[in-house]
Amino acid sequence: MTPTIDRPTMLMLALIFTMSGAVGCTRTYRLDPVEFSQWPEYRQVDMHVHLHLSDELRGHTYEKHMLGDRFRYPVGPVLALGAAQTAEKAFTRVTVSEGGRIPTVEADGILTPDVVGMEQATSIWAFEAVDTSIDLLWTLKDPDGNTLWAKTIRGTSRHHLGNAFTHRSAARKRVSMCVEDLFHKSLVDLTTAQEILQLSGQ
Amino acid sequence: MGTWNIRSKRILILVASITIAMAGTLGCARKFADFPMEAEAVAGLRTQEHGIALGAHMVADRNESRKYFGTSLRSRGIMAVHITVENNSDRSLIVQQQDFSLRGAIRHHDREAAAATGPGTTVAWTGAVLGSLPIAMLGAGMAVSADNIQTNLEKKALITDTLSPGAATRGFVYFSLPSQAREAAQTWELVYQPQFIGRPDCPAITLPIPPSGKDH
Repeated sequence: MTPTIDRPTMLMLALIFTMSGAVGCTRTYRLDPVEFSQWPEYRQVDMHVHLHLSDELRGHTYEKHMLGDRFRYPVGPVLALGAAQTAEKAFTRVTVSEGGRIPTVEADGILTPDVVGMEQATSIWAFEAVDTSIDLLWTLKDPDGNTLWAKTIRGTSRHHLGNAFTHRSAARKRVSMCVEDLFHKSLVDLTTAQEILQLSGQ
Repeated sequence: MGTWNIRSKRILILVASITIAMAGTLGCARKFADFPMEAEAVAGLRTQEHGIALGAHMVADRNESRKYFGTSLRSRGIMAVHITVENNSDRSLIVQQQDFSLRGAIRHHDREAAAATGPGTTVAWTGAVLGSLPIAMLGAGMAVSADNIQTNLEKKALITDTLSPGAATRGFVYFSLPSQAREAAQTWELVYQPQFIGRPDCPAITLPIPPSGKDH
């Protein structure tokens, strides 16, 4: 006997299907601190740098809207932690402050990381690799506020989107790979920039 | 009843096939051509002042815009200008998007430029509300496409850099066009205000960009 669906059930199914498309939901991907592995080779710069982690950086959340859904990535804490670890590797002496204003400090330079933007491509295929990028602007100023060096570093990663069961772990993996790439590149640039080396007398 | 079942199965198979075909053609991540290194040199739009070599190439042509960005940016009120800066001086130079302006246009943040390119999400909403899977997939494909156009715009944008003597950088800066300038062929003027480290008073550099003949 062929199973049949009566009209009210059919209408109900159609309604559920329509609503599932029309009602958006918010997905928040909380990120664990990135465990950096295999830092690139570098030579520490002999300099006292004051690192200021602004409220904007620490609270940064990337949001993406797609087909009525909202995807949230609170990347700020991970970026702040990565920036501190990178600065401590790059310079012999690092002091750190947080908050809205940079305090008056005695240091050779004041280093601030700022998020310029984060982007993530999209696909409707679960196993298609998509690109993720985070742009972080590093600015080094002297205590008088004059800019000595500035550079936007772009971290990138390519990883699949994940299906209904793996999208969370895939999202975390994509962002972790991107953050790791970002700070590896940052370390190389901070320790090789001519302007920074000149300032340190190296 | 038996005939209806066979028919409905055929219809379902047809709808599923169309959906899969549309998803396949519209949903995949699009690849956009990289801008060639020599383009601005070929166009001959270069100037050398204050120890800086400035090159510019305006992507005004519709086909060229589709090739690099997947859409005609100019018809959406955005002018993409590819800029090359070479520091031939003996001082370090900080280069950032806000150092550039295009007379007659407003500098567009690349994220704002990207936002102007994608109506796909609206179409997807319509599809979902109608409950028609093929239309929803068409919308999803457009949204994905718009999203990838946005990512591509970001990827090609000029990013802040400090150029030591002898170093160079390149990338796109996006400008917002007034409505009357979207179709008109005209001469543009790119103005660059260099920011040398320790030398704040460097005069601006102006580079006239004439209409290219296929300026539409």
